[in-house]
Amino acid sequence: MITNKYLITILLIAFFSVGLFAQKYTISGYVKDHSTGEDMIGANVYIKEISKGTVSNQYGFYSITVPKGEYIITVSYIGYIDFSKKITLDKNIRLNIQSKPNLIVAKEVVISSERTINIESTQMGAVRLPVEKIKVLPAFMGEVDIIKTIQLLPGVQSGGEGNTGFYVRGGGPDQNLILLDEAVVYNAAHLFGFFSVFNADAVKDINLIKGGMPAQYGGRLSSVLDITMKDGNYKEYKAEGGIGIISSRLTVQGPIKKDTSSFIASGRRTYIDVLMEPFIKEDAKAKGSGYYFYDLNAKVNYKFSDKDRLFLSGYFGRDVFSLNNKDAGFGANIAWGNATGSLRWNHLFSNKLFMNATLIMSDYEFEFGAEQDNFEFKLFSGIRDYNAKIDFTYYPTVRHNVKFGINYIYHIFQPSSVTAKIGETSFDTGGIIKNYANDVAIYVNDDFDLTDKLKISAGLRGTLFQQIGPFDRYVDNELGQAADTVHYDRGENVELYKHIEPRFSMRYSLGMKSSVKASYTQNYQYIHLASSTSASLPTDLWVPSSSLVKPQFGTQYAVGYFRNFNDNIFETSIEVYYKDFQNQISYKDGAQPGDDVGQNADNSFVFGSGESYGVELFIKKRLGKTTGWIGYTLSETTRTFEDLNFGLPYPAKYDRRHDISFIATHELNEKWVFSFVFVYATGSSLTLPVGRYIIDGRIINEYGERNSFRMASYHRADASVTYKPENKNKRVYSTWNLSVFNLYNRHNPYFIYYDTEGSIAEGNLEITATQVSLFPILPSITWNFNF
Amino acid sequence: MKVFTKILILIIASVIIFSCEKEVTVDLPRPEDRIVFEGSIENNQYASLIITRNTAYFDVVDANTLVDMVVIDTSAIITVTDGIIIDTLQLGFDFNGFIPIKYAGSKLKGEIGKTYTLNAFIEGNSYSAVTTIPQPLELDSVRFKYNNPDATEDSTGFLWLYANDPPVLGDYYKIFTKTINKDSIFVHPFNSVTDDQFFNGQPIELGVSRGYNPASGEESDQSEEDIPRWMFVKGETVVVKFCTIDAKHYDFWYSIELQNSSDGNPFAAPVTIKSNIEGGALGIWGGYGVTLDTIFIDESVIVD
Repeated sequence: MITNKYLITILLIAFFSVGLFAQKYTISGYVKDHSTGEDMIGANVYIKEISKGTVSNQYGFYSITVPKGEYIITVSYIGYIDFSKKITLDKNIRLNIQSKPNLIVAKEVVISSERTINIESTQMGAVRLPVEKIKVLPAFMGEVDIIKTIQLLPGVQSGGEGNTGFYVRGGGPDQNLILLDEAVVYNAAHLFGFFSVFNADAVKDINLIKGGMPAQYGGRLSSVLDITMKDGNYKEYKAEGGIGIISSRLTVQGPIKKDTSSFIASGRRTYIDVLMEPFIKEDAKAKGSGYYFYDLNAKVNYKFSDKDRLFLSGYFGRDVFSLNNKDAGFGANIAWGNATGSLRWNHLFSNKLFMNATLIMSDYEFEFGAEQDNFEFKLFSGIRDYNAKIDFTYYPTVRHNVKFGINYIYHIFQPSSVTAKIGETSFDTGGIIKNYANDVAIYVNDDFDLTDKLKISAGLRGTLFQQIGPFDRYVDNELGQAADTVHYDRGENVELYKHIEPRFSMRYSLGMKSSVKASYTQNYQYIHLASSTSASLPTDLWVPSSSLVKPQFGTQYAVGYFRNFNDNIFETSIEVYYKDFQNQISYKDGAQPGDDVGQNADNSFVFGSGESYGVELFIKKRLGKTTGWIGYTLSETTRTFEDLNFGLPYPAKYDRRHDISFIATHELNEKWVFSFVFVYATGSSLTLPVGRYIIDGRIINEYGERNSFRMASYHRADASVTYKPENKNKRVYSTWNLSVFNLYNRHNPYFIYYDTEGSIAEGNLEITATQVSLFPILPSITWNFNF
Repeated sequence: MKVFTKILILIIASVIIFSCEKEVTVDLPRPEDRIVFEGSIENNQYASLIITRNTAYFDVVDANTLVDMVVIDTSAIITVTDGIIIDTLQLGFDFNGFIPIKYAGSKLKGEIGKTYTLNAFIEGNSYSAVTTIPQPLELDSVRFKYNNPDATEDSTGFLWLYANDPPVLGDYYKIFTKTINKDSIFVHPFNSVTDDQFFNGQPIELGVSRGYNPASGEESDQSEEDIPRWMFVKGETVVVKFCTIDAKHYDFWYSIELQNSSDGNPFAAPVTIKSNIEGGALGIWGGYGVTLDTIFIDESVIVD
């Protein structure tokens, strides 16, 4: 609580120090891409004379208030020509800046002498990735994947071979807040995690925050992955797309009214099922079985005036799997996916106060249906959110950047519900159970210069979470059986949690080239993902905090040293973090999905805590013909559950001692771009039986300590070549991307299983371990076009 | 639900057309040496107990190592008591059992409703365990259903047990059968235990398949007459042994059967076997409240 008081004091001082200075004027406006009219997020807007600046927000807006005078304003953004203009500030100025892409990228490096954002800002543990850089990296089966690129950053671990699950600084997969145009995406994976749901053609900006989370974000312990969709081209109609080995993509965009309104629509679908269809015989047993997934993104926006803008955007994606076995009279149909929609209104109250009001719907559904003869079985689970929020950004002076706002979410959880019937007879399986909750957050955050060297970002986030009825609590007896039921009516309070989350980070400048940063954050998370298997499956359940499940609570401490070399060509950093997790959940030993049927899902959970600490090293070459980075993470992550592993701490599933990634892109000339990726990670931990004994004449396995065994280490190299042929007809531009995944054909372990030979009765039982590897060397080719 | 998990695995497997497998050497630590108890006491029967030890996971199990797994400690003291009488168990032979050597009582027969404590002093260590013999539940009837009622030539099927579960929650059942002239011992179906979570106080219908005797080596799915091993056949006489057991005894068998069903599923969470033995040993000391019913499978007991 002492920390809280301290932070409040700092915030108050910060507020009252505003406006104590002389006559001031504001220069504000939007930063846009000259050729498409798209807003540019995170552009560095800088005033040389006072060595201060700001960064354009998520809608491209910036505002700087400084004393009257003459200044040179510079706007820089990687891959764009620096914009500089001399201004006389004797009144408030509106300056919309159109930055031009630096097409002849490699020829000449324009060196900005100002401090770069990584040295200047208080934010640590954050990375912003331009989508165009991702597109030339080697793509697994030709699919450009945003999340797989995120996994190459230090402090971010992958979920395993080909898996898009990601684990940030020892946090679980449910502790990442994944936002697509401010709407939460609950399951970012297609095909059990081999592909992510984000179609890179529709994405403009990717921002990952893994530490020092500012107060405007919350509800998750470990990270924020904030993805912004393109707005659509304001200048001209464009179509782009690609044809790959497993899927095709098409995006169309253009102005509805030039410079005022635009749209974008983007789709992607896999076609393994379509390609296979003609080769499956009509009378084949499995006729009608198949798998595909698709994604649709769409967005329109309208600029009413320089002060008001409206955005409507949506995402819809599904995985569909059908399985048929004629002989057995068996059929199954599985479909899952996300749907999001957001309506946003940007309003400028003044040139210092920016507002964004948003209405969001976010939905994740999983449905499994099976039929055998006249027996029908259906299982559903999912989560749906209705969300309204208002966010303000206030730029009182150049020294302050204040953010405040309020956020309300109505959650509807649907843990596993089953319906079953034989012919016309239905079974009583407890019916469809839903849980409801109110989730409110209010926050304020100020990012301000305390002295010329010391910059502080301090914030508070107040959160309230209330589970409400209708709800039936099954009260278990000591034997784990539902012995009693407590009923709550619609709207009745079931459980209420309230918490204050302090967020604090600071930067101390050690000159133009280097700085030291530190951060301390507390986060509460009121929703939990329960996984009963060792793999991430779409069946994993989202459950609310309840009387049994306490909100997850995380504390993170981090310090870092940031330094640039060679005129900011190289950015380097070293960060050390320590993280503590409370109220983590896990299924009881041996629990299976569906044990919850006719029960509260949380009755099958056990509770514990976790801990993670590590060092992250990052060296990035940001400019020049060759760009890329090296990331290294040394870390340890453990979990402690009273009811698991005899109460002793054990390594988390995603604990990796060493994690190295190396990424390089070389632009030889305008036609050829080469990329190379190498990753190395300590092997995954798993639990294996160490002993056996005999009960009832059968072999029983005696398991060793949880996750005490390590599979072989994971390493892999990928390479790609992107070729842009000379453009002859000047209408269609095309590029070819040839990627090779797993260059040296490493057999990385996916899982290990045991093979048993002989029988115990015949006295010749022998067991061998077999390692399964997923992907050998896999070349792929994609043809991309735009016109 | 297990079917459901299996379907998911099937999907993953079918998707992963590129996957490859290779044999690897897994360097496992040796497990701690532990004693394994498998003991029981039934109403009107003396206690019986098999004592073995665990082995390392990759040790080959053959006739020799199997003998080594049996604990024979001539200085061992094994007693069972109901609080009044102490029965010292004696080492003897059991030629029907998978492990042919076992300890058996001679003074104290199990009684319904009583609690029995096992004390064992073996190889310098002491172990103890407590179990009860719960009130047995009489079956209303035992019936037979054809596996495939439409096929006239198919005479195979399953037994169905009918009973009324008592009103208080917390009843646990384990089922055994013995087909006369075919099974030398009572065998249990693959899933042999159930609790009354979903049918407390209500009429019960339980389908029963035929188990196998591990000692007879009949692990294969087919018996000699081309009849699946887990089926009963019209014309057979079957003794049904319907038992009530206490909660810890149930937890043990439930964890065993859960481990068997998730065996070979690399995505399943490992199942740790529960035990009610104090002192660092593995296994079970369990009481059974037994009722016996005999059924001759003919037209009179067949239901659709």
